[in-house]
Amino acid sequence: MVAGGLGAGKTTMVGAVSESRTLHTEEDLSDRGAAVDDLAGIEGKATTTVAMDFGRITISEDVVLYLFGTPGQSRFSFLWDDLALGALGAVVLADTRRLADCFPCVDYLEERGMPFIVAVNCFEGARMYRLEEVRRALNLEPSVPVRLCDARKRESGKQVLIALLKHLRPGVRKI
Amino acid sequence: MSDPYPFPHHGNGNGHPHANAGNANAGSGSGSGASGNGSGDADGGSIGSGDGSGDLWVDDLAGPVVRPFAVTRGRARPVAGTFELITMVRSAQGWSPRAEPGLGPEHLDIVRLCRPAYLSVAEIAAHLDLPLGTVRVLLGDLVVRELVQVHDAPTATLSDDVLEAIVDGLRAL
Repeated sequence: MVAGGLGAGKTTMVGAVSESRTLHTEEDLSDRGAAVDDLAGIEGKATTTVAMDFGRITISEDVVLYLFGTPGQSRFSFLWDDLALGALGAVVLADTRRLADCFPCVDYLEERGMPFIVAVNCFEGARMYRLEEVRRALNLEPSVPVRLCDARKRESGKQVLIALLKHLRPGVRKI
Repeated sequence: MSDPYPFPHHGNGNGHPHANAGNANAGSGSGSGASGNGSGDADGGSIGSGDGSGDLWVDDLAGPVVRPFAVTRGRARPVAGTFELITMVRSAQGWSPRAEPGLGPEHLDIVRLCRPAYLSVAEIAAHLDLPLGTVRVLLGDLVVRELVQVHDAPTATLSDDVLEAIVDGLRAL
């Protein structure tokens, strides 16, 4: 699961790491929409659907890794339960210019007990903060890894995913 | 007027031959066509759009010509099974997709799509350009007819071996 605020680079990262093109699907809001107080901000949309981007990485014949970008707007957070089913863990992409945007993700993941790491997307022109400052601002547990990344770069995305997998099973040396 | 489709029909982007099934109604109902109002189009049976000020929802703005609820024939829930985003689906071997009572073109599309290998529910929805809820209903029909096999993704407890394989696979990308 790739979480983070609107415009933090989730779709970019999913696209950079995944094979071929990013896939795109929509979830109806028809029945679950009742749980949402209003659709403020998307009045211009003719349909009440929310889009999800995701990608696929084929590891072997039997193993496929799927990356799902969460809908950025926190009002769609009820969809995260769907995404979280069967998810190994999450990457929270943080934009230091709008760090507060990832509070809802961090809260959600902590509440759910899903392992996650924080990847600070290094936007050009954004002031660089030390990772410790980010950790403190997000009030993270000391065990949660925080690292820098460039969501546009495949190699960087790979390293983030590997860091997440290591975090899942810190005891396994060979990883 | 012999052309039942008075304005250019684009389908819904996925090239289904049935995609224009609802277009004839849409055309004859509004009659506004693409040529606008008051242009004196010799459209024969055209009723005309009246004030001509209404928003024209065309192309992508209009959404799919066959609405999702029509594809599922009004059903919101699958008759069988629960389908997570990463539930893997594969077509049953030895059945070639053909029209059958109760099966729509989208059912057959799913069977074709999942014939070579397992595909996740999310991928099926993306490839067919249908909402997830719609795909779940269609998959329920296929499960009841035993035309597809489904495997739920393993829960978040993966063996160390698989984790290692994933890390190695990522490094090799």
